[in-house]
Amino acid sequence: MPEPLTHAPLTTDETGPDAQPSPAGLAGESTVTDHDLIRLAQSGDETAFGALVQRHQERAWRIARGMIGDREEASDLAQEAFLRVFKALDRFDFQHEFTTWLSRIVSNLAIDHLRRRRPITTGEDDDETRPEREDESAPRPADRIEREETARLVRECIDRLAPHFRNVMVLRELEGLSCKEIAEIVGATQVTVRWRLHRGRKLFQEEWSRVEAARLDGGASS
Amino acid sequence: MKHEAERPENADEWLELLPLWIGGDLEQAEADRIAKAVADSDWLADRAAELASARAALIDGLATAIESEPVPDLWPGVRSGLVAEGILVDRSAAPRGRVLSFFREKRVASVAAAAALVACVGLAMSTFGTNSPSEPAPSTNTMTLPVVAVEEPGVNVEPALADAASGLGLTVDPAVEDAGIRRVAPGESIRDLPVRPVWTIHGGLPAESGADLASHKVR
Repeated sequence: MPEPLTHAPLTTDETGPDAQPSPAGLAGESTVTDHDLIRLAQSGDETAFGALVQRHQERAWRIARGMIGDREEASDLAQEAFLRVFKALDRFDFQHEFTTWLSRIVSNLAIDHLRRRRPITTGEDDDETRPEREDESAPRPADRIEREETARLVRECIDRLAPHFRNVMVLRELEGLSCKEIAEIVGATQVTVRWRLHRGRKLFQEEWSRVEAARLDGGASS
Repeated sequence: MKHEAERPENADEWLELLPLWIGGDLEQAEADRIAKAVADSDWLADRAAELASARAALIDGLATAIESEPVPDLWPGVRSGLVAEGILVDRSAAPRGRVLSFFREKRVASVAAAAALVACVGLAMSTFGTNSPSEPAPSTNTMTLPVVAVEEPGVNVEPALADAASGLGLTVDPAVEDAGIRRVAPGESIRDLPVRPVWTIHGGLPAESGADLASHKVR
C-alpha cells in the first residue's frame, strides 16, 4: 500500500510564461543546495525533485552497481531508492546531508536485495554473472582485456562477501568515504564499521588469493 | 625480493591491524606502531603486501566495471513510478484534467447535459411555480441554464438537450446560436465558463409543480 502523500502534490508547467527551469538545469545550479531543492520539492515543485535526482543519480547508481553484479538490477534499485526518497521527503531531517540519507537508502535496498536473492552455487550461474562482452572475437588491446578480466574476477570475489561487508567495502573503497561517514550511512558505530572493513578486506583477500592461484594454475596448464 | 622471515610472536595482534592499516583507517598512533613492526619484519611486510595487492585489485576492478558503463538517467523512470502510483500527474493527460475526462463518453455527456437541464428547469419552476394555478401562465419566460462543457471535439450533447427540453415543453431559442453548449478551450477551466440564459419557454409552463418537474425522468 502506498504511503500517504503528506506534502503538496507536485506540479509542473513547462509551456506557460512562468515555465520553470528543467531538472537538468536546476541540478547543475551550484548556488542551489540540496536542502534548497528538498524544500522546493516539499512545497510541490516537481522540477526541484527532478534536479535532486539528476544531481545524485550517479552516486546512487555507483553504490548500487558496486554491490550488485547485474547492471539492470542496480539501475532498478537506484531508481527505487529515489522513489522511496520522494515518499519520505517530508520526513527529511535538515540536520543531515541528503547524500548520507540517499546512500543509506540505496545501501539498505541493496542489502535487502542481496539477502533475498538465491545464493549462487558453484558454477551454476557463471554465465549469468559474467559481464556481457560486446564481441568475443573482436580484437581488443591486451591491457583492456586484462582489466576487464580482472574486473570480472573482482566481481566474483565481491559477490561471495556477505551484504553488510560488501556495503562497507563499496562505500570505503569505491566512494572513498571515511569510517565516520560510513557509520552514519549504515547506522552503526565507527567501531562496527572498522570491524566490517577489517573483516571484509581479509575475506576479499582470501577470495582473491584463491582466484589468483586458480588463474595461475590455468595459465600454467594451458 | 624479500626473504621469508619467521612469524613474529605477536603476529595475531598485527594481523588484526594490517587490513585497516593498508587502507589508512587506523588512528595515527596505531598506524605508527604497525608501520614500525612491518619495517622490522619481512613476514609482516609480505602479509601487508598481499592485502594491499588484493585491495588494489578490488579498487581497480570496481572502478573498471563501473566507469566503463554510462550512468543511467534515472529521472524518467522515477517519474514514471510516481505517475504509476498516482503521486504525479501524467503530463500527456494533465492539461485536460480528470473532470473533463468524465465527458469523454458521448452517452455520459448526453445524460449529464439532460440532467443539468432538468435540474435548472426544476429550480426555475420553484420560482415561477408561486403563481396561482388560476392565473394565466406567462407566455414566455427566460431561464438560466448552465453551460455544458464537453471535451472531445466529436461529442455532441445537443440532441439530448433537445430531447429533454421537448419533454418539458421547452424549445431552444433560435436567437441563441449554441444552445448553451460550449467546448472547453485548451487552458480554459470549466469554472471560467459563463452561465447564460439560452432557453425560452413557449406556450407557458406545464401545470405540474416544480418539484414534479425536477423529478422528471430523462429518457
